[in-house]
Amino acid sequence: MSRKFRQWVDDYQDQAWTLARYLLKDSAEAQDACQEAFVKLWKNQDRIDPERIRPWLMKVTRNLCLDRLRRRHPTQEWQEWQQADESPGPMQGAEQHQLGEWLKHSINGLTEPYRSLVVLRDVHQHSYEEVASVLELSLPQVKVYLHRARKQLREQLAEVRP
Amino acid sequence: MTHDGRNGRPDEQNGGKPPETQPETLLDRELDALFAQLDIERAPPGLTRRLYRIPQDEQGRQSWWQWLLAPGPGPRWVLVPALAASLLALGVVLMLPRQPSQEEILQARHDLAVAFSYIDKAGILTGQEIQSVLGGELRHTVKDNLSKHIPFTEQSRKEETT
Repeated sequence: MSRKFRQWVDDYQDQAWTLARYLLKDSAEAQDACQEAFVKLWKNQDRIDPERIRPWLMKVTRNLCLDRLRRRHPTQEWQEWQQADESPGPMQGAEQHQLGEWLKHSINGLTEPYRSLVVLRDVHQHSYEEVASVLELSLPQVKVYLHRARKQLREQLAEVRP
Repeated sequence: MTHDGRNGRPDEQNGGKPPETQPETLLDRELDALFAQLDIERAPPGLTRRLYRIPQDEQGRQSWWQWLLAPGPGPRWVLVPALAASLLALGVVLMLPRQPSQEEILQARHDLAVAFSYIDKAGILTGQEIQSVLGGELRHTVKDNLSKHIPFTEQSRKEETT
């Protein structure tokens, strides 16, 4: 049982970590959230379909991150965080690697659930079905929301392109 | 990877231009290229160590009822009434009136006598102290002239004698 768990850690820790980092923007908190998620995985391993470990873990990680954000932003700060994050400024003449950094920043600027959608679908390359399961959305909703998220990113990219 | 969240025929949406030359499509491709650059971040080694430790940490934290319900050579829950019976027996034994031995009675008497002797000694000393203080004061007030205790008259008496 412990060996199987170790394998899950090896397979999914990076994805859980990346998602937590995008959502929490704080390394220490992201580590705590990941640990919490894996503790839940350990406790519930007998109840989870082995084929659904990854979406289950991503969903738990995301929910734990959102809980932490709610605690971190108890009142209006949380609402502000939900509505908008600081948007990146124009980067005329930026190099490709700078554009990569810009993209990370832009993803952070998206609101929920767009941010999680982009991270899970475009960064982690999860299937639409898996993303829908993680975010508890229908497949058409996932597609529509992802379209909106990418539209926002495209518009921002059009502004900063050299 | 292309995003497929759009509906309708591309020619109708894009004013008759081929889709691959549309700015939206170009931006989408560029976005895809940027996403391809975004690697999934590797989890820090500290987090990996924490995650590997989860099984042993959690096994150590198993609560007593989990231990009782865990499969073993026999049903562990039968220990509960056995433990309760033992505690009850211990309580009964402790609550029974106990006759002291002769030696204990003698020792208690001796201790009590010593304690009383100390109390007597303290009483005598206190009485002596009170007597000496009060007696002295009373003696002065009876023996001495009253005018001696009044500073003004004492001073005038001295002036008269000089």
